Amino acid sequence: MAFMGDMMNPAPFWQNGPAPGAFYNFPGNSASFGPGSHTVQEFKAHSASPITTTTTVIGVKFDKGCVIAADMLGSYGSLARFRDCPRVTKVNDLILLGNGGDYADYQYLKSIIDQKIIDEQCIGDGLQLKPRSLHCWLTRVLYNKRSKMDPLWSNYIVAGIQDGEPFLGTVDKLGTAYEDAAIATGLGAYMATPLLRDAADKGPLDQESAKALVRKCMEVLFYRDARSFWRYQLGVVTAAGVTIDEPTDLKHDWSLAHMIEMV
Amino acid sequence: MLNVHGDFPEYAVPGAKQHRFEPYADNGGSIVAIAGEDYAVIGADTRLSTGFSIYTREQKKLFQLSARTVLGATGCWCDTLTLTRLLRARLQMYEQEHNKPMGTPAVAQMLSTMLYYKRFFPYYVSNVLAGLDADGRGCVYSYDPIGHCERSTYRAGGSAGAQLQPLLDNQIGLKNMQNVTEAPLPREKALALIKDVFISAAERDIYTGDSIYILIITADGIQEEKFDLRKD
Amino acid sequence: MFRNQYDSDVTVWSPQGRLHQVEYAMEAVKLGSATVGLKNKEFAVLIALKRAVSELSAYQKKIIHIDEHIGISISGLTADARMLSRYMRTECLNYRYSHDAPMPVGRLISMIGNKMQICTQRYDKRPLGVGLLVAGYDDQGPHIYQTCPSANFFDCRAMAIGARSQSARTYLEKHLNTFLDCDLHELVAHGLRALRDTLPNEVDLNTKNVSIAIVGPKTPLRISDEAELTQFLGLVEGEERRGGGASATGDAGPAPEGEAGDEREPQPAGPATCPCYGVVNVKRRGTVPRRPLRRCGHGHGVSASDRLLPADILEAVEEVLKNYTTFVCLAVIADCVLPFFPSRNKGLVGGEKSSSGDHEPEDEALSGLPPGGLTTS
Repeated sequence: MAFMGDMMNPAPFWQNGPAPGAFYNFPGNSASFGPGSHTVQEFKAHSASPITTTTTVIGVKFDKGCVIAADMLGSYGSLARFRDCPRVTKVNDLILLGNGGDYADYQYLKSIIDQKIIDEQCIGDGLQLKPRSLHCWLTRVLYNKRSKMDPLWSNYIVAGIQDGEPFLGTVDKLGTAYEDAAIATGLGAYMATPLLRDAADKGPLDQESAKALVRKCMEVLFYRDARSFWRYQLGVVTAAGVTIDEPTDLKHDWSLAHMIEMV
Repeated sequence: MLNVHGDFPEYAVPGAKQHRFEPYADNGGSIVAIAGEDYAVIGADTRLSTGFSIYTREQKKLFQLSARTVLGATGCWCDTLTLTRLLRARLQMYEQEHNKPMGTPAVAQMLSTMLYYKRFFPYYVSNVLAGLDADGRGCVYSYDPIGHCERSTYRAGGSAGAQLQPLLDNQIGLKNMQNVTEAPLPREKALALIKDVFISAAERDIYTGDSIYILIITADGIQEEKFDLRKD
Repeated sequence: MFRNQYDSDVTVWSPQGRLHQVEYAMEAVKLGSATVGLKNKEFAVLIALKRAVSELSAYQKKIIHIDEHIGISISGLTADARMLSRYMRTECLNYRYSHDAPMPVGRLISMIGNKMQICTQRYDKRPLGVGLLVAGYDDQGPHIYQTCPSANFFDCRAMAIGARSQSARTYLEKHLNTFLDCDLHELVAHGLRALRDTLPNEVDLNTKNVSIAIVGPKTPLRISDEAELTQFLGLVEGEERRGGGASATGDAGPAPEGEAGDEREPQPAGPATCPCYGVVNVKRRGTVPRRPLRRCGHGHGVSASDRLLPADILEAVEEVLKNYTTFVCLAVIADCVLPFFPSRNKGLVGGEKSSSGDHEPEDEALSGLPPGGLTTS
């Protein structure tokens, strides 16, 4: 049926001339909007793919709070380009936020969240944003951006204390959101989640065992994920507040590497 | 606009293909709802997944909209979240304006309208609505993503919907059976049937499993029940 | 005929630094029937007196549901209240949509304050003629807020607004320290007693003219149905009434120190105000002057001996005025005395109207109809 052309958006009579039922097809003219007249290029211009990326972020709940960890590498494609990209941050006394994905998108959204917290402090009514509220707010922001076909290419993990109970939730670039006791994004979903779930199923963790578990996961990920890095951050949130450790360096040992042969 | 792939194919890098942003995800999940004389039962599995990985094993996909209406929604989870948030807001507005909660048939119609409003960028959600109608009888409404709405007495939806519906047709609709007499389905039978069909679905559909969350809607209120499925 | 030069527009200042239009708008609140709000450690309660415009009509709704955790009770122009309540509902819905949490009450109130302020500063707008009592519950516990047409808002432990609400405030002030520790039933009972103090002696609270809303922890805002109303009214039934509203004037100014609350018979009012909000200082005195002593800022001044008053009403007025050096303007006297002479309303206030003459449409409601005519509740 190709010879019939597009029924909804008929071709103009002559170059830049009027189409049946329309005035001139100037670029930007409303006649060039509408679902039928988008070119592939217009969509592409709108939907950036990630440029400087970060990899996995993992989070796990323990009896009195949550731990989040992520390494500090910003990759430019396969190039390990930036080595000091902090992406585990304190939002307020109740919320710890971790991110993975496009680093620029994260910095953009982080500045908005920071301003939101400053605005809230300026109100001065003593109320603090709670993790579930931030989690929900992030789903709305990311979903709205995806609906404009202009996504913020990131995964977020929100950890915090919601009315005295630990809270751990995540949002991806579409606005897909859920809560769970253990969450890992990116490649970590395949390598860290099984470890985390195993540990969580064996019984409730305490703070030290949760931290040890997360450190173990970071090590596994470092050995297996080509976009990962040996320097990482680890943050803890409990009712006492949010603490983010100084960046830790993984002890790694590749002495076995030459013995592994790919057959 | 110049394009490497179209205008300068010799500069295109093999392997570094730019793919278009895909706004939809298939997060799986199945729903089954059965309406009886004075009750409605609706169940959904609690697995939220994407491709071969499971996001979480305990995601409730049933949304209690009022004392007599429950919505089950699966498919693109981000759309589900948005749709149900909007629905909740619309229901509160209705209740404040009319001083009564919205009845199930009215919710059903409104949901259809809301889905059709997004006809050209649809919510990729498989909806099944269960509840009691104005006469207190059970009712089930099912939808396609762009708002087609149909009332029935039983319905399976979501990733295993196509597998389960024929089973329900046979067991509840008594299709392709000889020498059977139609009789109202007792609530216990409906409940047992839902558990059975979900066990079957979990065997065959990788997007269905972990457990089912069931809500039983009667004039006395809504009861909830959990039932474990295989977790692999 | 005297006419104020500085009240032609909300944007016009008087040389005393007052905005007369805004002050007039404050008067609209007093046209509505009284409503009381109070809280203990857990619950916030609204109690409102409903009235029917006529025998034929239903009682006007006074309490509006905003969200699961917020309700308002209104006094003043009902239409303005509807517009405000729609705004509040929308804001609460939006907050829930984007934050999955109830809107903090204080933040909603400051948004309302900002919204109401705009129309006190622009020549093409008018201030909203409604006062609200807002009851809410959030992470910081129960709240009672009062908002005014002047765009002021107050965080209150207890408050009453509306016609003759001074008596209710007097009651609330007297018992203020007991509220925090009493249980929900006692709290409601206190509210009902306060509200009853605003009533004329022959009228009492019943399930038709009272509306009660309660909000608290795990208690979404509930506007009581008839069964619950009966139960609550039973708490104060048969109690001896204190003072009553015979001399309450329905103003909303703060009571002067040491005056309110100690005198019960007859119920003294706070400082009387003329409907134009010219505050008239009041001092207790035993004698009744026969001549108008002074005029209020708008020329409303008249004395009790005004010949327009029929003898029986005059008697009641003099009873009221016993407590004052009487340069209370007649509109105020009318406001507090008229409810006791329902059949005589029109004639009396008609005379007042011609004597003052500068009443604009807002006063029409005061003078042409029973206090708080069609548009207020």
